[in-house]
Amino acid sequence: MLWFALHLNGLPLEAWLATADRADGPDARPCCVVEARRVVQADERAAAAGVEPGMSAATAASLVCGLQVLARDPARESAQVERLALALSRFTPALVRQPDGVLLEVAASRRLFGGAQALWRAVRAEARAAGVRSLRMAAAPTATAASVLARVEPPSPSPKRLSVSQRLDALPLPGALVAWGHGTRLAELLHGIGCRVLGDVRGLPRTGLQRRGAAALLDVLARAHGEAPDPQPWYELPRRFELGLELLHRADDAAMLVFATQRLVQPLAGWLAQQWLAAARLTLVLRHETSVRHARPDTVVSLALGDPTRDAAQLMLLLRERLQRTVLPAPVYAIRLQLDQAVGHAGHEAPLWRERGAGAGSGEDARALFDRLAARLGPEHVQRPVLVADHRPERAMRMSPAQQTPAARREDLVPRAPRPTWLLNVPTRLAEDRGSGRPLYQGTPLALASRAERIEAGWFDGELVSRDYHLAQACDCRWLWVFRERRGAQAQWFLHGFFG
Amino acid sequence: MRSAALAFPVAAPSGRLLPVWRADRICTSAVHGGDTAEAARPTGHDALDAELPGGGWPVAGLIELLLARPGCGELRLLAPALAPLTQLWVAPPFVPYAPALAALGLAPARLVVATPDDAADAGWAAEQALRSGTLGAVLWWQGQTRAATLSATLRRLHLAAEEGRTPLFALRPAATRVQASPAPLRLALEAAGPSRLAVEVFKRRGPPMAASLELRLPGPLHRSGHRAASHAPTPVTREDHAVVCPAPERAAA
Repeated sequence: MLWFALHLNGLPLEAWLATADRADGPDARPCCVVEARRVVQADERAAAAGVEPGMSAATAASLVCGLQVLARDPARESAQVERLALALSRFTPALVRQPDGVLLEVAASRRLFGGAQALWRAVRAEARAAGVRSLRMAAAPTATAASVLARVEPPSPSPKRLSVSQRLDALPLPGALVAWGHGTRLAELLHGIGCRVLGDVRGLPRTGLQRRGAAALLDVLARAHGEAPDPQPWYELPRRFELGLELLHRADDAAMLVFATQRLVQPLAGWLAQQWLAAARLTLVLRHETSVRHARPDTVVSLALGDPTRDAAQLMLLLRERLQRTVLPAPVYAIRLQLDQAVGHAGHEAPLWRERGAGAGSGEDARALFDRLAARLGPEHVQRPVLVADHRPERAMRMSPAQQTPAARREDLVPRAPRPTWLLNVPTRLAEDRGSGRPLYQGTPLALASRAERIEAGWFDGELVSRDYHLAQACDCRWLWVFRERRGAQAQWFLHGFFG
Repeated sequence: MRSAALAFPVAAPSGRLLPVWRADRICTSAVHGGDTAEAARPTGHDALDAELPGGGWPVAGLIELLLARPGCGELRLLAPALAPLTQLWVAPPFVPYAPALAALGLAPARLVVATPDDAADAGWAAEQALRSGTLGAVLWWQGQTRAATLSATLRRLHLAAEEGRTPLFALRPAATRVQASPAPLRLALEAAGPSRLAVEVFKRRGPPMAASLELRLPGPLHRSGHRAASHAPTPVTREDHAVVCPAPERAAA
């Protein structure tokens, strides 16, 4: 067993700041979190001005001009831990959620992620990306030991090679007792008999300690040292993915939502990775401020992926393109991300050689590119042509979304008669030369260069086409495709395409 | 002059032999970084290959094709080189008609068409495709790109094409010939007769062309069994593919 413990020692403040990109905000003000009118935590600017935990809110406000005072919000803190747990669930299915941290059992994941060291760094990077700025991590063979080491062990600049047992014994006693939730009476008792570190307690006679009310402490110590079973309540992933986030400041511009969206995409990627799924359709719901008089419906940004993925960077890229094109009717105060459709996905096969453009555009990279283009330009603007078995020229082809897998080549649909490479969407009417009866293009009569190709089809769906097509040569030597409409009172000439 | 000269080697300070391109010869090797990778892809027209540095379309970078108007034979010129590649066409002037392209050998499955609403998005789409380096070629029609941003757009696209090692064929109006461009290869195309295309390579890594080149393209009737009434096309042989003529001659209709 190998446990990683993550302790969020800045949770009260970070739960509030998770949605705000503090680095770039010119309006970033010093802030602190208060509970029962006492400061719990202050950010760097406020701390630099002298705001300390335990200070009264009024004193703190008098120290710093423009101090933003935030009330401690257990719901936000719990949501922040939940997001972190979801994001980290891509490393292991065995997670334990704590009020102010997450425990991971990673013994089985070491090989997949390249060893314990690499996994340690990956977990740390993932937590940073999830918006955790102050983080303490520890590794130990038991959950209890890892958890208490992350909370209590003072950071040492040069880590000595000590066993976990020695490190546990060196922990200061008051801190460990607080972390394990023991009363002050026991702390005073142990302090009174000269115990300064946990190791001192282990040296005392067990029966005497048990009689003096330290049975629970002995039990925890045994679990930390692996001398007793150490069961943990596992964190169970939600069955459906739907996660909301309330913004710190209301957002007037969709681009401002990008940062907050990232906070939701990362848990989604972790959730998907744990279950070997890939997102195929997503919905991002933007909730607007409503008043009694103006009830505004939510703005819904939906995203369909041609290449289902669970890569957070790719999902974020596509959502960013969509958000930047979204116009907000009103300021947004909360967002919610939900997964509408997921497909099973065991990962991509890596190519043995990197092929460059020689394939049929079906490579993952190419599909990711088309997804990105479709996210910004709109799916109706990124298409691939598909041949259709129809005699009518304008129906012999249709455009389908580029994200779909291209159809197999059908040799029988390749026309044998001449067809123009450029087709006009709407045929252009051409005047007729009175003398020769030939069509006029740009003022000069066209030379017809082929016998008529008669196309008559569409009687079955009410879109009857009855035309005689000719190749024609314009005065600038270009080849044109013209037809003579055979229906109607008098025949008319139309230009339908160019041979590019 | 046409005999494509090998760049002759000189010693670099490191003692390594470097090929040097002399401006009175056609450059035959990749100029960038001296890499030995394939630098050009045959165009499918032997006479044109002989005029292009490296003996074909460059595999990376911006290639400009200036057209008087769309439909003069640009796709028939490009089709042999594009046929095996995955392509993105950005902002084409009309609907690319897939049955005709399939007849030219361009499989619809390898073609994706992007039709953005404005020219800025078109430039963005082309740049993304080039940078990703996953496609075989990108075709971009200049369209209504604003003159103020055009020069910057071209430079950006050229850099993206070099970075992604992807060729970008920029199809631009003939009037832009007098404007400066970062493209190392610029060609002017003009219809010079039925199924003939006058190609003038007016900017290349090599000496200026003495005369424009006249290529015979497969005509619209090439594949079918039809015969034109007014002028029966002569059977096209490989030697017959190109005629060098002193001046581009416009055939009157």
